[in-house]
Parts: sequence; structure tokens; C-alpha cells
Amino acid sequence: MTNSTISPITEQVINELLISIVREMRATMIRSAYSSTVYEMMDFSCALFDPAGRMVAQAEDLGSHVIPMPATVKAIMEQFGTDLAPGDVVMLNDPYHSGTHLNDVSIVYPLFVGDELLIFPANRAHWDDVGGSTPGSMSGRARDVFQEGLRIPPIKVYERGKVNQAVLDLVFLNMRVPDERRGDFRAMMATCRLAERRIAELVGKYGLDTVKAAIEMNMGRSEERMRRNIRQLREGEYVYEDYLEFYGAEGLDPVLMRLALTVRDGSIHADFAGSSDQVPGPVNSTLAVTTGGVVIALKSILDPEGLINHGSFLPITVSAPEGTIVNATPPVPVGSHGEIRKRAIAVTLGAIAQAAPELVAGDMQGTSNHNMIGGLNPRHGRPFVYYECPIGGNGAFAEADGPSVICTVDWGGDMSPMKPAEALELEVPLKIERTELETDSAGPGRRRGGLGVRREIRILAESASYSVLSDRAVLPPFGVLGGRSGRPNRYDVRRDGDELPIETPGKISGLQLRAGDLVTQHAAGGGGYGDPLKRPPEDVARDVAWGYVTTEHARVKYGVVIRLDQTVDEEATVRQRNLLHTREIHLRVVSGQDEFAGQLGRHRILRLHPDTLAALGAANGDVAELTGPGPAPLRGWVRADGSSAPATLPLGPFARRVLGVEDGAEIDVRIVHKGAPRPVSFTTTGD
Amino acid sequence: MPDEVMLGIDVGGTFTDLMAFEPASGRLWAAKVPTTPDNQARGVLDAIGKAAVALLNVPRIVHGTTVATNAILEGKGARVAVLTTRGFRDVLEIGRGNRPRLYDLKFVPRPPLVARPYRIEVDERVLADGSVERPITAAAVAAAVRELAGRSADVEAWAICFLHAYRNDANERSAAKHLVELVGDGYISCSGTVIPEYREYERFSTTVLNAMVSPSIDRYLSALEARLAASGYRHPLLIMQSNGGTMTAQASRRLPAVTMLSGPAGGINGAVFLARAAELPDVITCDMGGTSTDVCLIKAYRARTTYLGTIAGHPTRLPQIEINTVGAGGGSIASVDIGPVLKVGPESAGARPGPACYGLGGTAATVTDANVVLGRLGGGERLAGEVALAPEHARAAVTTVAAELGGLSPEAAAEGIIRLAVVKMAGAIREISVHRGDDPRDFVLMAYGGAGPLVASELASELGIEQVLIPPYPGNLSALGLLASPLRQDLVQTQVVTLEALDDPTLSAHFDKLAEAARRLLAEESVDVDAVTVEGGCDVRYVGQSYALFVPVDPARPDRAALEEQFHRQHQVVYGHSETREAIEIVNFRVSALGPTVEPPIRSDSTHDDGRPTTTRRPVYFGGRLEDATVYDRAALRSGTAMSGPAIVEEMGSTTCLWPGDRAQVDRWGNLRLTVGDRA
Repeated sequence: MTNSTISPITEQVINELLISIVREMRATMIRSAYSSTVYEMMDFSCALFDPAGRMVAQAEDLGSHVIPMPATVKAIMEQFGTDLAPGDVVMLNDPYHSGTHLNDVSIVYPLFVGDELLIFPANRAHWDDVGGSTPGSMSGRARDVFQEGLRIPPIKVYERGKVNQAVLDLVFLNMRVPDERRGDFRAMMATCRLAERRIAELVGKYGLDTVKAAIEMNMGRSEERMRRNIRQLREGEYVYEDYLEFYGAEGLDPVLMRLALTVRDGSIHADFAGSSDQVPGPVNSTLAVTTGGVVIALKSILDPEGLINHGSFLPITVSAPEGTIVNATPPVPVGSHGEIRKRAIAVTLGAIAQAAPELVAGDMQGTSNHNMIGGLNPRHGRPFVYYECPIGGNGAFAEADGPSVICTVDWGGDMSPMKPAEALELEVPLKIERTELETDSAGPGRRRGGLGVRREIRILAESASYSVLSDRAVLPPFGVLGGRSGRPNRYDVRRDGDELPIETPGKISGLQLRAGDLVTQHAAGGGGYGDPLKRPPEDVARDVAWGYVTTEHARVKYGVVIRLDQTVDEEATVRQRNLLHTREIHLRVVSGQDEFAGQLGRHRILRLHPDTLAALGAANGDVAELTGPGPAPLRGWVRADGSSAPATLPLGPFARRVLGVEDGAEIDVRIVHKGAPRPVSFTTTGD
Repeated sequence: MPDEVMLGIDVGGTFTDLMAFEPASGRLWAAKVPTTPDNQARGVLDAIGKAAVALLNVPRIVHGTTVATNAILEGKGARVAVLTTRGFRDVLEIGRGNRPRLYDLKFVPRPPLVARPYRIEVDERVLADGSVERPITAAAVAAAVRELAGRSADVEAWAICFLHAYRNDANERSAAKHLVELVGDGYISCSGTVIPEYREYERFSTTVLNAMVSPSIDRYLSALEARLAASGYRHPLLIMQSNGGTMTAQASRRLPAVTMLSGPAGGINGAVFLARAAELPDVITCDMGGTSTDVCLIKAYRARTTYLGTIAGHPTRLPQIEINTVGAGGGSIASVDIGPVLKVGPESAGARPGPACYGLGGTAATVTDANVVLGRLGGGERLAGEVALAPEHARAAVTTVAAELGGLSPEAAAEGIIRLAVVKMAGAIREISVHRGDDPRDFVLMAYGGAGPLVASELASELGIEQVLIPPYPGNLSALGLLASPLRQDLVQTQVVTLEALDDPTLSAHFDKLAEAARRLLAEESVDVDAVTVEGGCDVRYVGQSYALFVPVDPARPDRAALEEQFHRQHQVVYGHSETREAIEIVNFRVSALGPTVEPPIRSDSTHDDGRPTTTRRPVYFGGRLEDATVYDRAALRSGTAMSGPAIVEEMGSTTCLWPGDRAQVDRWGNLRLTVGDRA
């Protein structure tokens, strides 16, 4: 359907009005919601979709919520099709029905003009608890989706205006803090009802055909703009790989995410073939979420200035084999939508960097970092759930250091994850003892990555349980163009000064805490950009003076020697930088295979001569990072192999493409994680 | 003895405006001089000189100043050191962790208000229930000051920001006392004093903003007071606050951050004042200037107050008139993006080079240029009082935009540029009206500022508003508002308590305490306590919600049952539902004490003039058609003069545009009252 008779002015006016409707939906939600996750964190989104599932308008809403929504709308159309009638309202949260994770509950509201289905206002909000095995529902050690909460397929909670109370009763009964959930539901309904009134006014004023034509034209323009920007890139196929951290009985068993990105003729195809098969742990998600990661990354890299609607996404296609971590099928756990999405962003960054290194940034936190503490609140004897996402640093880029403690690019808008300590202490039996930028957490580089947050939480309730669903707790966010990794995410719990053992870093299920325990969350730093030995020494000196970087870190990572008075010792710096340069370990690439190992997962094996291993100070099972002329690094698990020649490294074709090297080329190697996997007990659901 | 003269003096970005009122004769006159940015006091004295007023005869000067705002916007605030609870020095840098720009990998956040070396931690802790877990010691404060080492000499002001100080500020007060012992008297702002509300980032930010503007406001006010005294002024200088009230210069020094919206608040008071005279209780104001437009909602003669302001991206929680600003003004630049897509603003041509039609070298098409192309501006008037128009430059700039839009006519492009600016402004008005449960169609649109009257009719039409009012001094409304502003003190106390746990006497006790404190503050400003009126209310929510609604309560006779009923009703209006079975809690108690209201400084003109003023005619584009518009000189209009569109009303500093079908009449206070016609 086209109507080229409307002027570009009318088109713009109508689209401004559509965005303004979404803003009004947001205002309604913020001010009437009941859970601090909505009103303090703003972990919710509103948007408008057309019946084909294309996103028509969003405002200060989360890309992580909005971008997978087209699949949600399609799932609803498939399920109900022509059975949708005015007054129907559909609710769902099941990732296997194109949700994100079970905690994100969506309300989708078909709006009719006469008999014609025009638009779907939709609202997706994070509910603090949706049942499941642990308070807060997300569990780092869930083995299937049933442990992650109540699954709601697309259900009409209103049918022709009449509420289906039985369904709502069933839903709320299965959640730990039902009153809050009822409040959230009411607020979500209010936003959609409001959109209904506003859309009716819009159509009344401009006419249905004009509104539809304006939507269509606007998408066309965004599409054209995106295609133009894609055409600026060198055509070709670009590949990258990265990991998520799955724990099996033998311990860490990383799963591989692999991407081939084809840039051709103004469009981009992302193919995830070769990624690991799905596993019984929360490192899987659905194709809708994976697609979201790719689309968010490409929009943010290629067209940050353009309008925001589905047109920008049309030149991008994504495919992934079923039954893999990026396109999971039931019943594996899928609480890790944030982790899959953020890793999809990372591999997209790594691949597109080969086409446009000046446009990318170092990798970022790599996880939504769900932290949950639940128990009984002694103030009123009712259950409480603390839910927060301690925020890390962002990657550095050509023009600036990475921002510290700021949402990653899939969480733009109003999302404000750092809840006030004062609000938390008023609300839940916890005492926040520290909220600060973590020194030395940032990835070194000519441009430094951003710092992550360090938050310390004292348990005041008699007992509580602690769950974490995160990632990048072993493999840190990578730097680009010679920039180094940030610190990985870490969580420790101290009781009477002693650290409690956590055998699965970043994946904690119902760890039992008691009053006086101190939980410390260390959020990851962002990856650096460019060689840290080329960072201007005065920038390093400022970082030291301001406490972002210690003197020791400055000397070892940046080769900058800082005197006691915090000035740069120029001569010593030249010597130190030369020394660090000569200490770098280079390997010559020889022809080999892309070799992988793993139980259920797959990880790359790097066969090194024992002397090389010794020179690196590394042992079997440590993780090495290789850098070559290619902009992003390649990681693998080292294995001593006497049959490799000293100072050489056999690499397969995929690895050589990532590093941008041929046989005989020289690459750098360094260790980014030490320690071979240790077995894990899965005897109880809670630790 | 000569008659007394009251003065309102507003310092704006470009001009310093003065309104003088002589109550005995009813005479009201204006003076306008260029602002003197290096020292605003000079411009103030220039204005007084130009108005030919002898300060010996002046009993009252109310002043609107941009000193505080400029200090923050231009990054020229004082060097502040922050003392804060151990473990929390990065709160000001971390904020809430949000990423305001969507889908931009290279987003760079604004730097924190205070760099890290100037944020020092001290050993102390108050808990959420207000109990002191760890008292502050003199040694702890001394250690903190030592930590600043060589940097302490640069420190011009201090902010003391401790956790839970909204509940118990004993540690903050002790720290301030110890600090004075160490560094002597200075500018010290304590968070529990500046704004006793929970949420540490927002409270700390407000406190630091206050500290940052303390020295500059103090210096400025001292200099101004000295000059005024030297010229014979013998009364307290009154300063306009963001909340719409005034306080003495002395009181402003204690809490200078309350002057952040000093100028715009004067404009709103002017609007309220004119609305009262014209008996229009519900008004939406639209002040369109060169780079942006401020809109505000007035209901029952009261501007809505908000506690959720920001300045340069930094939150401030001091009560202020809720003014919503959008980056669309006369100087906003129109550009064409690939698509082609037309964009208007937020970039502005500023005053130099200004719109293309200024002929000062600007080549970008602006909203003003679009108005010139359409003939709505261009009758030989001088913009901003000094710039002669160069219509050929405007046409060239707009023609470029039209060509990039795919061969539109310059007139069609010009109408598009104005239309988009209007849609943005309408969006800003929707945010303060429909988003809060008010229907703009129930309001009168009052348009002022240099460019407001030009687009008023179109903006009203976009919002479905029928009645528009253009005040008699569209460029001087702030100064007029200052004349009409009462003294005011706002106090707040955070105290979370369920309604169940309250009876009327306890409720009364809460308000009595605050009201007494507020009265005392006004008494210190030499106000007759008997003439003070105290208003109040509570921030109320359902237990479990976070954001609360302000519910007005009569502090003299609080009624629990009425409060409860009113809250449910407001919740229903604002959010579309209320939950009468849910428990309710009060979060904050608030009172405002107001000094006596000032006598209206305008008089109605009862002479009714049916005579036809002399007019000229010129062709003007409306909706794609060239119409023969009548052009009026506003200065020649008399009460009762009626007109109908298409018409243009020109006056010094502003132009009003009537579309075909619009009708207008001058009322007895000199307002131009438009009735917007139906647009096909």
C-alpha cells in the first residue's frame, strides 16, 4: 500500500505524533507502577507495531525489549490470526513464544479502526519475580526453563473487553510478590488503553489512509538511509567467534557463538551457523533475541543519527540453526537473553570491525548481570526480592575513553539500573556499604575502556538466598585494535571476613546467606581501543591521580612510570615502554586446523610448544588471546604440544581470517584467564 | 514628596527589561537596555537610569537573574569539594547508570559536576531509620580536608552529602561545624538542609549545584546591593525564585540554587497575573524565544510545581514551576536529511550570525526565515528591536531546503518548517497537560516571547485550543511578572508514614511544625506574620508505589479522610485508575508560606473604541494560498478593536499572525484575544 500524495511534512508530523504517543504511554507507566524495577530502574518499554510486526515508533525505550518484539507480534498473529477482535488483550512471557526471558511480561493490544487491524501498542516490563526455583526467578544454575518461572504463552487476558480473571488469578498465584505484580499489570494495561484513545484521535484527524501512508513512507526513508550507510562499507564476508560460560559436571564447558557477516549490495546477512548446540544451562536464547543483538549493534554502529523505526532493520537478515544456543528449542533454560544478545553484539562488533575499524568500540560488560537476593523482610514478615543489575564499563572507541558505569548500547533511553542506596535500604533488609568505580577494572588502551561499578551489600535479614545470572565472569570483555580486555564480572561473599567458595563464577543459584554476610558485586570494565603503550602518559597520570588506575597498573599495563608526586617520569616511561614491548611474545602462524574440544560446549584449542607455554607462564587449560592485524582478538584454550615448533602456532582458516593473517605472519599472544576447569556438584538446586 | 515607584527588573540573555509601576497614578512603563554579561549589575543600573526612576522613591525592587543558571550552563560554577559518606564518593559520577542516547555506540556522557579528586569520603553513617550508626568526629573531617592536600586552596565552596541526611542531618551539621573550625567561614551546603528528600544521587546533585552557584550569587548580589544603596535604595532587594515566589537577597544567598529558573518564573507570574485580571483561571503559556520555547500549565491561577527538574543534564529537586523546554525557537535551523526528511532544530543560528534574514552572514534557513518567506514577517519591522530584515536572504535559504525536499515550492517548505516547529511545541505542551491528565482544550493559550505570537494560532489549532491571548507586552512579561510576585518560602520534610497510622491531631502537628518554621523564615525577611498565608500538602502514594502524587492539604485544618478521598480522585484522573482498598502512605509533608500579594499594577482601559484603526495590507501565505492580509500596528489599537484574519499585528519586538477564519478583539487590559477559526 502506498500513497505518495501525502507531503513529507504531513509524514513527519504524523510520525512525531506517534512517538509522542509512546512517550505518553511511558509517563503513565512510570508514575503508576508498583515495583521499583519499573519506577526506579525503568526496566520496561512501550512501542507501536504494525500488523506485520514492524516497529512503527518507540521513544526512550529499551532496544533489548523493543527489537525482539516484531517476532512477538508475529507469534500472536500466528496463534490468533483473524481471531483477534476489538477489546482483546494478549499477554505472554514465554521466550519460546518469542518473549525475551520469563521475567519480561508483555501486553500486546490489537487496535482496530472499523474492521481493520491498524496497530499494536505493546508494553514489555520486567517483573521482579515470576515464580520458579529461586526468588527473582532467574537462576544461574537452572537446568531447564521450568525452573525459571511460570511460562505464559500468548493468552487473551481480555476477550472482547471482558477480563479473563481465572487466567490472571492463576498467573499471580504463581509469583512470590503478587500484589506488586497486580500493580504492574494494571499500569501496563493503562498505557495500552491510553494509546488506544490517542491513536483514535490521530486517525480521526488525519484519516486512516494518510496515517498508514505516513508510517510506510517513514520506514522507507529509514531503510534507504541504512542501505546507503551499508554501501559505504567494503563488501565481503567477515567472521568472528566468542563464548558464553556454561557449567557442566566437569566444570566450565564454554559454548561457542560463531558469526559470518556478509555485506553485499546494501544489505547485511548474519549467519550463526557453527554455534554450539543448546545446553542445559542459562546460556541459550531464541532467534528473536539473537536477531535483536545483531540489529541493535548494526544500527548503533552504522546509523546512530537516523530515525528509529523498523525501516533501519529491513536491510538486515539473520539466520541460525535450530537447537543451538542462538536459536534454542524447549526445554533448555533461556533466562540468559541478555547474555546472548550482548554476545551477539560482541561478535557483530568483532566482525564488522574488519570492514570499518574506525566505527567500532571495545566490547562491553557482556551480561545483563541479574543479581537477586530474596528472603523474609523482618519489618513486616513478608517475602522481599532485591533485583539489580550492577553496571559495567563500556568499550573505548577512536574518539574517547569508554564511559564508566553506563548501560550497554542495547539498554538506552530511560533505563536507570543503579537504584538509590537510600531507596533500597528503605525497602529491603540490606545495607549498601559501597557504590564506587572499581579501580583498574577498565581495559587498557590508547583509549581506555570504562570502569565497572563495585557495590557492597550487607545482609540484615536473618537469612536470605543469593542468585546471579551473568556471564563474562571468566572471559573478560575484549579490546580492539590492540586495546586490552577489561576485568571480568565477579561476585564474592564474605562471612566473618572469609570468602565463601563459589564454584561457578557468574552463575549462582540460591546461595544461602545469613545476617552479617557481605556480598560484593564487581561489574566488568569495558575493552580498550588501540595500543595501551601509545596512550598519552599525561592521560595515564590523570587516571592515577584520580584513582581510576593504580600506579602499578599504569606501569605494567601502560608502561607509564608515575612518581610519588603523581607526575610522569618521562625517561623511566620510555625505558618501561621499550621493556614491555620487547617482552611481548610473538608467534609465527603455521597452517593447521580450527580445532575444538568440550563436553556439551565447544572451545578452541591452541597447541603451543611447552617452551612457549613456559615463556607465557601458562599451563594447560589457561585462556590465551591472540592479536594480529585484524581489529579484534581471537581467544583459545592453550594446550602443551611438543609436536608444535617453538614460537609457532598452528591456526585453521577461520582463525586466520579473524586475525587477518596468512601462514608465516607474526601475531601476539597473552594470557587472559588462568586456571583449568574444576568439577561442579549439581546435587541440589540451590547451592 | 514624589510618588512611590515599584520596579521589576529581569536580566535576560540579550536584554535587561524593566517595568516600573507608580501605584498612585496607575502609570506603568517599560525600559529595555542591553544585558551586560560581564557584570549584570551594570545593565540593571542602566535600565533604572533609562526608566528615569529615582531609587529614593522606590520601596520595592524584584529582580530576576540568570547568574546562577549561566554559571551552570557555561560550566563556570565555583570549584566545589564534596565531603561524603565513606564508600559513596562516586555517586555523583555514576548517577543512575542510564544511557540517554539510543542506538549510538559512541555516546559520550556529560562529565560529573565535581571531578573525583574533589570528592572526599569521611567515616560516618546514618541508617535508613535515621539512627546514627557512626557519629562524625572532628578528626574524620580533618582527615578529609588533609586528603585534599594542595588542592584545598582552590576550593571555593563545600558540599556535605551524607546518606540518609534527609532523615537525620545531625552528622552533616556536625561536619559543617568542624569544617568551619578548619577552613573558616565559607560557602557550605548540606544536603539535609538544601533538600531533605531521599534518593542520594538527586539530593547530592542538588546540593552540589547549590554550592557551585553560592559564591557567584553572593558576589553578584553584594555588588548589586551596594550599587543600589549608593543610588539611594533603602529596602531589601527581592530575588525571584524558581518556585514563583520571591525572597530577599539575604535569604537567596543561603539557598542560591532556588534562583535557577528566576527569569522564566517571572514570565509565568506575569502570565498568572494577566490571567487573573482577564478572569481566565486555566492557561497554557508558550514563551517562544530565539533558541527554544518554554511551556507551562496554569490551573486555577496556579502554575504547576515540580520537584523533578534538571539543569545541563544534572538533576535538581528543589521545587520549581514546571516549565517544559523544547529546542524549537525562531532561530532553530531547518535541515534536510536523506530520505528526504525535514528536521527543525535543536541547532540554532543564535543571535550571530542569526537567521539568514538578518543579513549577518547566516545561510541556514530558520523558523524566522520561513515566516519571512510567507510574508508573515517583513513589513519593515526590526527584529529584536535592532535588526533590519533582508528578505532575499531568507528566500534563498528556504529555497535551498525546498529543493532538497524534492522540488517543493519555497512557500510549501516554509510552511513545513513552521508546522514541524509547531508540532514539537505541541508535544512539549502535551507532556505537561495530557501526560498529567489535563486536556489542553480546556485551556487558553497565552503566547509571548518574540516568536510566540507568530505561531500561536497554528499551535492552538494543533492542540484543539480555541482561545488565544497575546499579552500587551509580549517581550516584557517577565519584568511585569516580577512586579506581581509575592515573597515565598517552601519547606519539605520526608517522613514515610501510612495514613492508617495518622489521626487528624498528628497530621496537624506535622504541618504546624513546618508552617511555623516557614513563617519564621518570612518574618526574618521583614514580612508581617499576620499577612502570611500558608499552603501545604503531602506527597501521597499507594504502599508499594514509588512516585507520589502531590495532594493539597490546608495546613491549618488537615483532614485525613478528605486527604484520602482527594488522593484516590487525583490518581483516577492522572492514571486512569484508583485502588480504594489499597493502603496509602504519605512520603513528604510540604508547606509554602506566601507574603501578601502585590497590588495589580495594570488598570483596565474602560474607554471603548469602535473606531477603525488605520491599517495597511500585504500578501501573506496561509495553507498554500496567498491571502490579502490586513496589517495592524498594535500600538494604535484600543480596547474593543475587533479584527479578523487573515491579518498581521505588528509591534515592537513581536508580531501576531491571524489565520483566515480567526477573529480577535482587544480586551480592556490591552490583551489581544484570538478565537481560532476552523481549519479545513
